[in-house]
Amino acid sequence: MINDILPIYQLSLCQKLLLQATLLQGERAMQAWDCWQSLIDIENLDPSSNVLLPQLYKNLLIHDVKHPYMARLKGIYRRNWYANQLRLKDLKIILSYLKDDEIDVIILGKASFGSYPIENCRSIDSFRLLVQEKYLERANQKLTAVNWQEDDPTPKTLIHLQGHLFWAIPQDHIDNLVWHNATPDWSDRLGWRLSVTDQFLDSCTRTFFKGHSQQIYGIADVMILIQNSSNDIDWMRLVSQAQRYQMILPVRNMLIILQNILKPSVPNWVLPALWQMPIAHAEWLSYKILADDKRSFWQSIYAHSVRPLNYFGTKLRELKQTPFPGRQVLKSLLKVR
Amino acid sequence: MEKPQVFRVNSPQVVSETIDGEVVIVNLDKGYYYSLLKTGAYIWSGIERHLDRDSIVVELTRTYLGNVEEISTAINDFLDELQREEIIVLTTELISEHPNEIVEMGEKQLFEKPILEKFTDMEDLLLLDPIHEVDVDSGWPNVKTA
Repeated sequence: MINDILPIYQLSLCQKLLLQATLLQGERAMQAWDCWQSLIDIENLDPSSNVLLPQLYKNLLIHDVKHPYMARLKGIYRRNWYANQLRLKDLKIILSYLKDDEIDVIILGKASFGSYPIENCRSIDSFRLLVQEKYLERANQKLTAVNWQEDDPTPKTLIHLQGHLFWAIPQDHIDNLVWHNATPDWSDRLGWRLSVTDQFLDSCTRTFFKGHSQQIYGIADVMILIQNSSNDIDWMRLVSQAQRYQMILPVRNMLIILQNILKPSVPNWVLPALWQMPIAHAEWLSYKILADDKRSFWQSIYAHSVRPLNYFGTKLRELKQTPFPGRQVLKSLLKVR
Repeated sequence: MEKPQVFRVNSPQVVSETIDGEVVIVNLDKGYYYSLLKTGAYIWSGIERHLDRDSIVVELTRTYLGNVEEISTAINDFLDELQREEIIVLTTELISEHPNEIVEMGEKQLFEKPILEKFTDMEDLLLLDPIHEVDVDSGWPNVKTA
């Protein structure tokens, strides 16, 4: 019941084991795999775990695992690879259209991992594209002109076009920073890629944002960033930007989970620094908290206890904008008289 | 004297990946999906290394046990089929600098005719649940038989 009021992020034992079997190497990965496959029935997996199966297959292959599940896991990988190739082809066409109009695009989300070993391990079901705010309308018109309709009731692939990635004042400066740190190296310079630090922040916020259903692939994404690009992560900047953009809670959550389950190499000072930072009211309202984080739990309860007052205020303002029905009733009464 | 025939993958409309000894290929223009195993995958590696037609034949006859003429015919037929499917095209620009690198396979295996497995009804196959509706022993895109 409390989860309905206060979304809590909690991983099951099987999900933890799956993350370990997917992302770790050597004996730890194999122990996790043995345990996971003995606990689960592959035909009844939770949707969140299903997303990791192509990447699990790749890791099991490296470890030369022989198991009756391997054929189906390989099939899942093949299906994912095939579907992704078709989607990436569409994405390249979209990027070419926009590039012809001198609109640069940063590719976000699942399609952004072009050069990482997980390129074909996430199912690219939609495109998240960041363009500069001043080009947003033009990009929208350009895509509409090539049959990407805003109100298409049965879209095969969705495009989420956005002008901002992080929010803070002054917004122009924040947007410029994102572009300044990005690199134009997505698929033969067709598109841009976020800096690893910004990608880290983005994955954290999307993993713990309250409006999203619980997913575990965000944890895997961040782990892969740490494993493959640890030298490119600017930890100082990550912490300071988390504070500036009011994203301390999701980054802290992510690092706690990673530390508990996967034990990546993260500078010792990062997590204590995040614990010392005050968290804004809006953060408690926007992001999920970890089930075993008692301190955050009470803070979040407090934030929620204040929220109904704000909601009441909003409703009152809405009422002011609509005609007061009582007057109509009064008029009809007067007419009758 | 005839010029050596060298092939290249018909990219960018054709993309491929090798997974656990199997080559999976997609023709992005047509949406067709292909799979190569064993000798087919070996020949594919020769194409990727820009070996000419004759060098591929020589390499496989050295690697596999079998009648040279039969191996040669099977490989030539296979290369022709890949061309017909527009998966590979002839090129004049690429010639291998290291022809006939024999891949160590231990004891010589018997030559099996290369097979190009082709799937065209991809819209239906993409709708298949890859866990419940596929053959347990071979996985997607092989449909579970009743």
